Amino acid sequence: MTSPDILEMDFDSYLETIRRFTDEELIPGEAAMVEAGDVPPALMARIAENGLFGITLPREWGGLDWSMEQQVRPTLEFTRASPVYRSRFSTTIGLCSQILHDHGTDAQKETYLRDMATGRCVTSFALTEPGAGSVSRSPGSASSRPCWAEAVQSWRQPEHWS
Amino acid sequence: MLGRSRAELEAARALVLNRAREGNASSIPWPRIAAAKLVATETGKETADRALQILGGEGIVGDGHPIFDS
Repeated sequence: MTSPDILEMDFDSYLETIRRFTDEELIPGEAAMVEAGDVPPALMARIAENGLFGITLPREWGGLDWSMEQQVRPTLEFTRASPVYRSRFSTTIGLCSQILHDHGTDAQKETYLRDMATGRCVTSFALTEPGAGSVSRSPGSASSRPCWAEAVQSWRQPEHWS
Repeated sequence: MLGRSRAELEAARALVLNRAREGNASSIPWPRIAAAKLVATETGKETADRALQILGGEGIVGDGHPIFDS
C-alpha cells in the first residue's frame, strides 16, 4: 500500500526518497534476496509503500501520475540495484496497467486499477501460441471471450505485503 | 576503456531522458523511442563487457556496485 507521505510528495522529494531507498534498502538487501530465491515479503511491502507500483497511473486510480520523464528518473535510481527488484513491479506499472487503463472496460478498471497502483494486485502478461517467438504481433489466434479477469485473479497477491 | 564507458553512458542517459521528455507530448515519436532503446541497451552491453575485460569475473558478479557521481 502506498504510504500517505509518498502521495503528498513533490517530485524532487520523491526522487530523493527513491534514491535513498535504493542505497539503504534495495542494494543492501540483494544478498538476502539471492539467498531466499525471492524478494522477501517485507521488502516487497517497502517497494509498495514507496509507491513504485503507482508511478504510471493517474491519481484517480491511486497512482502518482508522474510524467514520462518523471518515471524515467526514479527508474535510473532503482535500477542501480539488482534488476530482480524492477521485474517484480515492471509488468504491473507498464504492460498490464497501461493496457487496462487505455483499453479496459469501466468495470475492469474499477476492479483492478486501484489495487495495481498500490501493489495489492501484481500482474503479468501471457501472450503466446506455438511458433509465436518474441514478436508480440505474430500470434494469429483471437480470443472469443474475455480472459483478462481470470488471469489477473490468479495473480492477486497475499495481503501480508500489500 | 573507463573513460569511453563513462562518456557513452552519459550520452545514452541523455538520449533516454530527452526521449522521455518528448514522450510527454500527445504524439509519441515511436522511431525515436526505438533509437533510444537501441543505443541504451547496446551501451549497457558494451559497458558490461568492458567491466569484464578490466576486472574479470568480479566485474560482473562480484559484490561491487557502480558509482555514479551525476
